[in-house]
Order: sequence, then structure tokens, then C-alpha cells
Amino acid sequence: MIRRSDTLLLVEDSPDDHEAVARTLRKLNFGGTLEWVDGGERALAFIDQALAAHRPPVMVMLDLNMPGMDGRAVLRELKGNERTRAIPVVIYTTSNNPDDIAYCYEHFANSYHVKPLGSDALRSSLEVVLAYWFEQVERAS
Amino acid sequence: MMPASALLPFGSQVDLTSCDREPIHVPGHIQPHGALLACDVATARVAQASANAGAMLGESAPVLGRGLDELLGDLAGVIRRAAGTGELEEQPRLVGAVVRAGRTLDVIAHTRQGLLVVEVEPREPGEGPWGSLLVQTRQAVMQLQAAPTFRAYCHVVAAQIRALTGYDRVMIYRFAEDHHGWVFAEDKRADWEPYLDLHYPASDIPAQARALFLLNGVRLLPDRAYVPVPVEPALHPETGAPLDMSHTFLRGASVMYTEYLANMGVQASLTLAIVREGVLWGLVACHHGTARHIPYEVRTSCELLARLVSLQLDERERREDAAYMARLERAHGAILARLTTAPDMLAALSEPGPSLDEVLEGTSAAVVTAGVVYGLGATPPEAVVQAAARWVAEQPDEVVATRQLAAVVPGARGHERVAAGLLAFCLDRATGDVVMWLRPEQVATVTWAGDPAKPVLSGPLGDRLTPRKSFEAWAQEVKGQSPPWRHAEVDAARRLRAALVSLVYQRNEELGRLNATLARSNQELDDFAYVASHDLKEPLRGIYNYATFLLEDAGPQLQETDRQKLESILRLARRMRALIDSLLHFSRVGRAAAPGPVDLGAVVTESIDDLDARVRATGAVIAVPRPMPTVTGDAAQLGELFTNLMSNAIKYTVPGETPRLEVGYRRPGEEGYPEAAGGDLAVYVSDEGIGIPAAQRESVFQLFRRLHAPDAYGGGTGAGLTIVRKLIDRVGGSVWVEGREPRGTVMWLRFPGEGRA
Repeated sequence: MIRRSDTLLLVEDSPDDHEAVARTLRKLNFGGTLEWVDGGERALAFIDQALAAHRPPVMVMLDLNMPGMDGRAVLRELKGNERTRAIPVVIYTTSNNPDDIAYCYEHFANSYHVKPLGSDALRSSLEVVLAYWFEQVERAS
Repeated sequence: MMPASALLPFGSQVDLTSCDREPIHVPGHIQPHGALLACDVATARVAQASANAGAMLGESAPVLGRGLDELLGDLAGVIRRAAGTGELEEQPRLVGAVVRAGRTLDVIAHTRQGLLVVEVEPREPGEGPWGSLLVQTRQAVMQLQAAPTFRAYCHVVAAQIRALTGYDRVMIYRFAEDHHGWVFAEDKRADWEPYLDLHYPASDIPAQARALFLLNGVRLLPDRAYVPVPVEPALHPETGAPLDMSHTFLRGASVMYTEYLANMGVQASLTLAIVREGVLWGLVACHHGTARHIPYEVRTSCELLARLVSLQLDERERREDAAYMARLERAHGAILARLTTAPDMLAALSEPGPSLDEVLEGTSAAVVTAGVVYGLGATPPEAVVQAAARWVAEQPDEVVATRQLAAVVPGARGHERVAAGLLAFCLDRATGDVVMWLRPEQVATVTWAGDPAKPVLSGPLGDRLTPRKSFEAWAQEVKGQSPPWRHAEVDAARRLRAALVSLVYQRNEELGRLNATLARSNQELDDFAYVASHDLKEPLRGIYNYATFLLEDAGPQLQETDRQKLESILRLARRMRALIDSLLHFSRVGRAAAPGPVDLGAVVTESIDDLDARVRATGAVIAVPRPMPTVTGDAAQLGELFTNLMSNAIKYTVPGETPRLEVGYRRPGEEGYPEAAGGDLAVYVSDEGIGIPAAQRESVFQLFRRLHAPDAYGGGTGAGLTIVRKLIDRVGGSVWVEGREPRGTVMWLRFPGEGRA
């Protein structure tokens, strides 16, 4: 059961990609809240605040290639910090470069998805993500 | 001088096998044209004398034990004084003359080992024309100055001595490093057989004989059939030693020698030593058909001329050597100049002016590079050159020289006419690149063959003592050998090697730099392609998404035509994404290659597996007629290469027909081997499909180039062949297209360096 207070943090510099995700989540009747930041520093700041308010995001969807602090740095920060280590980070990126995939898993990304082209593909992909991290995991914890 | 122990004892019988141990310095007898007295230096009393001494001096009483003053009068005093100063020690000198029994006798004296040896020789009127010796000698000297080459000079010397002495034949012998000799110059009477260029083995003039010539450089034999006059007593009464006649001119001759002369039809001889820096360089050998005596004065003039040869030797040989070395130097310079401008080393070495085989005298040359033989001049068969090159590459020395190639390279046996001697160097042991010069065997270049019509005379010791046999003996000794390589020539080889190595090194460095630059460029290009494709995808996604959203949200309200336009946008966006992915893939292909031996059979099998779905869908038949070879490369990349090629072969079939493919290879020499593969392994993927028109066979390799409509023949971005080319380029090979009869395509792949089994 996903509650309104369950937050999915999308770290993504492209407003178009954000728009696509938001729209798809609406179509999927996502019961939680989508929060969006467009950069790495903002993402860390948001998580800090959320933690302070005892409401860390249930999951972070993290783009890799962003100007300024990029997704890899955010990943390292989150997974390197005791306070944030447990937050699931799903890499959501255009890159299908094996080097990137290896890098992210080596740095303890929980999952890696390549952004698909097309709303159907996006839809099924998000369905899977939500089903796992929000419902299954939630139920488990 | 050879140690006495090596020589046979005084009085031994000698034959052909022992002539090099004949103790010729103590023959125990003299020739009869003079007489000899051996006195104690201290007492000047005669201890030993030749049996004819008394008669020649007009003495009725025996001379043994008598004083020199008694026998020679005032001259004895001169002799004793000279002996006292030591100037006669091992230096025979004409001290004066006496008249005895109505004849003038020249008196020549020397001291040795405590003995004063006095020889007397009657002055015979003899045959002329002696003329004014001084004038003649002077004329001779002037003629010598004018000779253009050293050999011409020696010819003049021979001619001058002949004019002076009247001998039937005068030769100049020359000795080689191994002491074999040959007739270097000759002046003779017209009807005699020429001996010019006759070579004889070292044993003909054995070591002790050569040594004796250094001690006494004038050897007169007025009549070989002389009756020997014994020295009495044979052994010195006090020392018991035989008389050492090394410095006498009357010394008896060896039977070996006299018999040889007889076999040549020669009755009289005169031999003069030519000495250079204490070494016997050669001999002036004069022969006469009848007995002939040359008086002391004339002999001395000849000796002077012989000494002139010695003196000139150094200078002349040095000059000719220098001339040769200068030519080598110029040739070296010319080749070096060409090396810097010629496209490759091989071209530089084989171009005329001079080409490699013209650098050293009397040679052919060959360059072996990348396993191929390039011959210059009359070289032996390729297989021999290859074998020689392999041997050279195995030697530790920088420059290798041998006079007898067949001794180290069995394959060279039988080819001595062109390749007995080898001078070579290896440029690179890893590649086995070798540069070599070859010289024919010595006997091939020597012109003396003797007069076949002339009957061979021989004495009791057999026909070995004849010029023909000498030549045969020499020829046998040097069989299969070339003349020795001169220092200047070995040096020239060494310098050329250094120059080539340095040049190759420079070129390799340059190549290395170019490769590094190329690698960097390629890397930058790849990075660019990667980044570009990445950045291109983002707005594309946006376009696609918004078009989708529009279709979803407003679709029902739109006109059919408008909806189709949106569909088109989507379709085009998908296509663009595919193109970008192809570009991305192309940029990444070939990276991080891990080359090793790859079994192409396994690769092809795996590719067929990858294409399984399409194979089953089309019922494609893929034939691999024989097991595929192993090449060097990256297995994954080669897999992609073959998958692309086979995928194309399946796709570009006439609709409705079953695709038929064949994957195989050809090695050089096999039927159907494509010449464009230039000796390397040629692998092919062929099909019986629609084929590629000849005009398009290059452009198909362009990125995104398809010859057909985007969706025809299974679609595709047109990057497949571009990727194939990139991959094969990376291993240093190439790919090209050929048409097939009656219809179809053959894609050829050239894998470098894999052609030879």
C-alpha cells in the first residue's frame, strides 16, 4: 500500500524526462509523491532535509549525466554515508555503456535501468520499479 | 726459422711427404760454379772447405787447416777487419776479387755462428748483353715509375730483369696469407707456355724454404744437373755440427727443386726474394732452358730491382687499396643518400649507381626481407639464399664472412660457381631481414689452365712436381672457397649495416609516432561519437515522448491525417534512435581489443548461433566446406564481424528464395585465391543473393549507406559493413567485395601475416 507520504525522489536534469516520468506515474495511479530535483547538490540537500524531518525518500531515481555534480558523485555520497546508505538508489539513465553499469554496481547502486524510448516501455519499466521498491520492499520492512 | 727439431736430421733422405722438413740449410754440398771455405773467425784457419776449393784457388796442396792470408793474400786482411766490426755477421758482402789460375774470382764473405764463410766465384764472360749495368738499371727504374697499376708495375720489373739477364722466363710470384702462391706477373720468350695466373699450394715452397729466402735473398742455380761438390769434412772438427749454409750463395739445391725444374724443361734459375716489412711477400723467379750463369754484378742489379718492388709494394698496394676503399666509400655515400629519399630500404639498395652488387668487386648480392628474396646480379637459387639468410640470422656476430658457404650451409653445395664466399649481416633477427654479398669460388676466377697439348715430363719423384699438378693441388685445396674477404670490404659491410639499422630505427620511431598520433585521433573520434550520440538521444527522447503524449491525449479528437503525421514523427524518432545507437556502437567497436589466437571455426559457429532466429525463419543454408584456420585477433570483435557479414548475406536474398551462404578461406597458391590478398590469408563469406553492383562496391562501406529503401531487405541502419571494415582494419587487414556468378556476393577479408603455413 503506497501512501501519500511515500516519496520517490527523481534526480534528473531534463524537464522533458521529468515530464515523461510524472505523466507515466499518473497513468499508473502512483499513490505516493514524486519529488523532483534537477541536480546533484540539490538532491543531497533535499535528502538531508528529509532525513532531518524523519521522512527520507522511499527510493531515489538517479540520472547519471547531469551538469555540475553528476549522478556518479551523488551515488558515491549516498552510499558512502551511513545515514543514507540504506536508501535504495535506482540508476535511471540513457547510458547502456557496460563501463557505466559496472561502475554503478561497484558503487552499490541497487538497480540500473536504461531509459527507454517510448511511453509503453517507460510504463512497464516504472511499473516494475514501483512494484519492487514501493510495495514489496515496503511490505517487507 | 723453423726450430731445428722440426726438420729432419742432416743427411736424411727426403721425399714428397717430408719435403717440408728437409733441412735445406745444411745440404752438406755446394754447387760447382764456385768454391767455399769455412774458417774459424779467431784463427782465420780453414776448418771446412768444398772439395773443389783447392783447384779453384790454384792450390796444389789441400786447403784444410791453412790460413786465409796464405790463400787470399791482402784480401784476407780486409775480410778479417770487416769480420771484426761485425758487419759481416749474417750479411754476405762482396769484399773484393783475386786472380787465381788465370781467372778473376769474386770473393764474398760473411760470418755466422763463429765461422767465417768465404765463397769465391769466377767471373765468367758468359752470355751478354751486360752493357752498362748502371744505365740499364736507371732505365729500368724510370720505366717503373710510369706503370699505371701495381700489376703493370710488376710486369715491367719482370721485363726489365729479363732484359738485364737474358733469362727465357722471368716471373714474379706472390704469396697469399695462407702462403699459397701464384704467378702475378710474367715476361717470357714467345714460344714458351705461359704461367701467368698459375696458382700453387703452400707446400710447393715449404716454410723452411721461405724462411731461408728471408736470410739470403738471392739464389742462383746455373745448372740444375750440377755435380754436387761435398763440403769436407761434413761436420766441423770441433763442434761436430754440419756447416750452416743459410747465407751462402753456393748452397746446394734440394732435389725437390731440381726435379721440378727438370719437369718444366728448365735448366737454370735465379730466384730473388721480395720482402716487405720482414715478411716474404713474393719471389722473382727466372728460368732458362739451358744452363746459365749470371755474374755477381748482374745479380746485384737484379737484387736492386727486386728491392725496388719491395719498396714500391707498400706504396702501390696502399694506393690501390686506398683507391678501392675510396670507391667503397663513395658507394656507401651514394647508397646512404638514396636511403633517405627512397620509399624503402630495398629500393635504395637495388637502384643502380651503384646497386648493392656493384659495391664490392666480383660479387652478386641479395636482400631477404619479409621472407622474400631480392637478388642482384648472378645469385644462386632462392632456396640457397634463404638458407644462407637463416644461417646469417643465427650468428652472434654483427657482420658474418665466410670463404666457404657450403661448409656451413649444406644447401649451398653445388653452387660454388656463384656462391662460395659470403659476406653478410642481419638487420633484424626477429624478422630475419638479411643483406648479403656472394662471391664465386677462387678457381672459377683464375684463368691459368696450362697447355693441354703439352706432354707432362716427370722425374723419379713422380708428376706431382709439375706446374699442372701444382695447380691441381692448389685448386683442390681451395675448392669451393672464394678469395678471402678484405678488411676494407668487411668494414664496408659493417658501416652499411649501421646505416641501415639507424635508418630503420628512425623510420620505426617515426612510424611509432604516427601510430600514436593515429591512435589518439581515433580515440578522439570515438569519444566524440560517443558523446555526440549520447547528447543526441536526449532531445530525441523528448520529441518521441511529446509526440506520444499528444497522440494519447489528443489522439481521439484528431483527424486521421493529423494522427498519421504524429505517427510519422514517432516512426522517424525511432529511426533516429536506431541510427544514433549504431553510431554509438560504431564508436565503441574495436575498443579494448584483447588479441590472441582465435579459432575462426568457433567464431563462425557462434555467429551462426547468434543468427539462429533469422536462420530458422528463412531456412538459410550455411556451408563451411573445410575447417577454418586460426588467426590473431579479438574473439568478440571477430564474432561481431562475422555476424554482420552473415546477417547481410541472409538479408539480401531474392524474396522467396532460400538464402545460401558459404564461409571459407583461400591460402596463397590455392585455386581461387584472390590476388588482391597479396600473399595473406583470405577468408570469404559468400551468398547467392541479390548482389552488389560493381559501381557500389566501395560505397557500401560508408556509414549509414544502404543501397535500398530503409525497410527493404530486413531494414538496418547501414552501419554493419562500416563496422566490419573498422574491425578488420584494426587487425591490419582489409575487406572488399566481389561479385559472384551467376548472382550473389563474395565478401573477402584479408588477415595479414597469416598466409604462410
